[in-house]
Amino acid sequence: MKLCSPKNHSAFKYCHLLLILAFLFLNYPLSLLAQDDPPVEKEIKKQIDKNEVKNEEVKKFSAKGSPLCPNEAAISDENQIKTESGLNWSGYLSIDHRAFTRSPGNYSFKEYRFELKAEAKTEKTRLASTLWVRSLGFSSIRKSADLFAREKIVPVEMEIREAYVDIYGFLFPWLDLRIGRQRIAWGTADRINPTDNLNPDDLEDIWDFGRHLSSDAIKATGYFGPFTLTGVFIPSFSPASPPLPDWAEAFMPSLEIKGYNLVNLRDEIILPESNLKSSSITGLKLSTNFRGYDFSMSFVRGRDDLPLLRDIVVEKISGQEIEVLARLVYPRLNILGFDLAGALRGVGLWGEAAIFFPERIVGETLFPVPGFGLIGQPRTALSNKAYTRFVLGADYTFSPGIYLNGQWAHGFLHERGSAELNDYFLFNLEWRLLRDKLKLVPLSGCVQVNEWRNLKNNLALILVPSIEYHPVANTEIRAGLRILDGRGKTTFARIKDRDELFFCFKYSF
Amino acid sequence: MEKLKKQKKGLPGPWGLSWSWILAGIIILLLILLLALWAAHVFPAQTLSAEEILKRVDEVVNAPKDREARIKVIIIDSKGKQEIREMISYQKGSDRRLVKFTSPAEHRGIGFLSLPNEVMYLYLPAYGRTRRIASHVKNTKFAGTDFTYEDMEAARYSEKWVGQWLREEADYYVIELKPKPETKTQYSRLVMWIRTENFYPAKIELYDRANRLAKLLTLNKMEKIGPYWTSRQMTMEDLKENRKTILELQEIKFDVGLGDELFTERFLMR
Repeated sequence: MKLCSPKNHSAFKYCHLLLILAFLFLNYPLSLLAQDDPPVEKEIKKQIDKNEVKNEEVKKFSAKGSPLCPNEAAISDENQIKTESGLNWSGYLSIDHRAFTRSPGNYSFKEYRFELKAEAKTEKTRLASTLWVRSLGFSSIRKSADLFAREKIVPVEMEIREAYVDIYGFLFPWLDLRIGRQRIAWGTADRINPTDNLNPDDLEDIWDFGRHLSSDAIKATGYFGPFTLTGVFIPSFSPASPPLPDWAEAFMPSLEIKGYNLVNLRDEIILPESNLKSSSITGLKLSTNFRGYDFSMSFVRGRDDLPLLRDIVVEKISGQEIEVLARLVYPRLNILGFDLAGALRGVGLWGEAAIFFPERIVGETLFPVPGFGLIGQPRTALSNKAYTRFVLGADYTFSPGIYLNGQWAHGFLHERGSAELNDYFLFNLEWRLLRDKLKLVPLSGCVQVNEWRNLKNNLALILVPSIEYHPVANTEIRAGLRILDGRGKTTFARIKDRDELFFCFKYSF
Repeated sequence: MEKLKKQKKGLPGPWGLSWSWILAGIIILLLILLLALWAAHVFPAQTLSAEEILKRVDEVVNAPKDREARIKVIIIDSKGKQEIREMISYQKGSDRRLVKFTSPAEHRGIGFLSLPNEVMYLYLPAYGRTRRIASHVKNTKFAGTDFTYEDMEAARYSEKWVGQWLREEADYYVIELKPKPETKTQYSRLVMWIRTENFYPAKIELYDRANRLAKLLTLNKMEKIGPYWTSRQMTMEDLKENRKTILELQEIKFDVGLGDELFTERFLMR
C-alpha cells in the first residue's frame, strides 16, 4: 500500500497569479541590469572605447562582414563581439501523451509544459530564470460542483524551476558565486548519478531519469590552476517529489504486517526541524584533470530525500483487519563521492561512486493491547552501516552515426543499505540519420538483477524502442513504446503490467 | 692614327681576352643572375619540398595568436533546402577551441570545448552540466553539419600528416597528405591545393578509408586582416550525399589576448 498520496494541485489555484507576478518581478531587475547606459554616458563610453580601440589597433586585427576597409572596421565599436546582452527570452512548448497498452488502454500521463527562460548577461554577472507553466494530468470532475472549479477541469500549475544570479570574479578573480534557486548537478555518469545529492530528486515522471528539483542555495566555485573547489550551502531541506500514483509503488516504501490485512493506512511525514542545524545541507567538491582524466572528490552533509518508515502505529485491530498510522522521516546522511571521466582508445569511460553514511534511525511499532493502551516495541528503521552505490559506463560512436552507451549501476536512488542494493544494466543504441533529423533508438532500456544466484526469479527488463524526428528547425516529434517485465521483488516487477505508448511534441523558441 | 685605333681595339685584357669579350661576358652573367632571381621569385617551390610547404601552410593558417569569430552556418541539402545556424568561436593557438551555438533555439547555449590531447567537453544547458566526450565522436558530424569533429579541429597539418609533392598548377601547389602512423583519422589521404601567393589552402579533397573521394573543402573569400590572411567562407561538400555546409565568418578579431582561462569548463558553462 502506498504511503504517499499525489500532490494536491488545487493549491495552485490561488497562487499561480502570485507566481506570475513574482516571476515578472524577478525578471524586472533583469531588464534593468541589462539596460543600455543612458545616452550621454553611452556617448562618453563610445568615445573612450574608440580611443582604446585606436590605441590597441597595432595589436588587434579585426573585420566585420564585407568590410571595404578592415582597419576602419577595427575602430568601430559595432565590430566588438558583444559580451553584454539585453534580456533574452527562450524556452519551449512540449506536449507529452502516454497511454497504457494493456486493456482498457487508459491514458497514463498527459503534460502540456511551457518553459520560459529569461537570461541577462553583463561581463561580470548573469541572471537566469526558468519558469514552467503546465497542465499535468486529467480533469478530475467527481460531482457537478467540481465543474465550477477551473483547476479541476484544466489542471494548471506554475513553478519557478530556477532563478539565480551569477557573479563572476566575486571578490577575487578566481571566485565565481551563484545565488538563488539553482540546480547543482554533480557526477560524470549519464543521468544516474550517485554523487548528485544536493538537489532533491524529482520523480514525478519516473521515465525522466536524473531530473531533480532545484534548491535555494549559494554556490561558490574557486579555480586554482588545475583544481576547482566548489562549496555549496542550502539553508533548508526540501523532500523529493514522489512519482505519480500509477508508478509510486515502484519507488515508495511498502508496508506489510504479517498475519494481518491492512485495511486503512494513514501517514504522517515528519520534516526536519526548520533551523540551520537540522535543515541545512552543505557540500564540498574538489575536481582536477590528471593525464587526460577528470577526477573529483566530494562530500555532502545532507538528508535522504525519500521518506523512511520510522514508526508503525496500529490504531485499530478488528479480527485480522488492522488500521495503521505510519510515521515517515528523512534521515541524515553523510556522503563521500568520487567520480572520473576520460577516454581509452577512443572509447568514452566514466565511473562514479558514493559512500553513504546514514544516521541510525530507531523507531517503534505500537500495538493497542486491551487494558494496557499502546504497547511499544523498538524497531531499527535504518542501520548506520555505510553502503556504496556506484555507476560504471562507456560509450562509443561508430562512423555511420550509430551511438552505443552502456552503464552498470549498483544501487538505485531509492535503495538503502548494502543488502538492498540491486544491479541495473542500462543500454542505449541510437542511430542518427538524415543529418540528425531522424534518430532511431531500436535498443534502449535496462535489465535489473536483484539476486545473481536466483537470476530466473529476480530479473526485470525495460525496453524503450523509440523514434525521434525533427521535421523543421526547433521542432521535435518523438514516439515510442515502453515494455516492462519482471519477476520477484524487483523494482520494475511491481509495475510490469504498465506497458505504455508515448508521443511527445516539442517546439523550442 | 689608324694604327693607334687598331692598337686600342686589339688591346688585350686580362688572361689575353679582349675587353669587348669581357664586357659581353659580364652582361651575360648579370642577365643570368637576374633571370635566376626572377625565377626564384616566381617559382619558389622549386626550392621548397612538400614538407616545407606544409609547414608554411601551418604558419600562415595558425599565424594569429588567437581568434574570435561569429560564424554563420548554412546547411544545404541535396534539394537545395537551407538551414541556418549561428555560433561564436574562440580559438587560441592551434589546439584550443571553444564554440557556442547562438541559434536556432533548439541548439542555443550548446557549447563545445576542444583542448590538447583530444580532451573534449560538451555543455548541454538542459542538463546543467558539462559532459566529457571521447575521441570516438571525431568521425561523426558536428551538430548536423557536413563538418565532422575532426574537420573542426584546429590541428597543425604538419604534425599529423606527411606531405608529398604532386604537381604545380597555375596559382597553386598541389600536395598529397598521408596520415602519420600515430595519427587517428577517418581519412586515408588528403589532396591540398595551396595558393602560391600566400600559402593559404584553397581546396582540399578528402578521401575516405576506401580511398574514395568523400568530401571537398573549399576556402574562399580570402582577405588580409592586419598581417593575417584568412578565408571568410569555407564550404564542405559531401560528395556521397550531394549536400554541403558553408561556414561564413561574419565577424573576426585576431590577437585579442584570449586567456587560457577562457578554454575551461568554467567558461563553457557561462
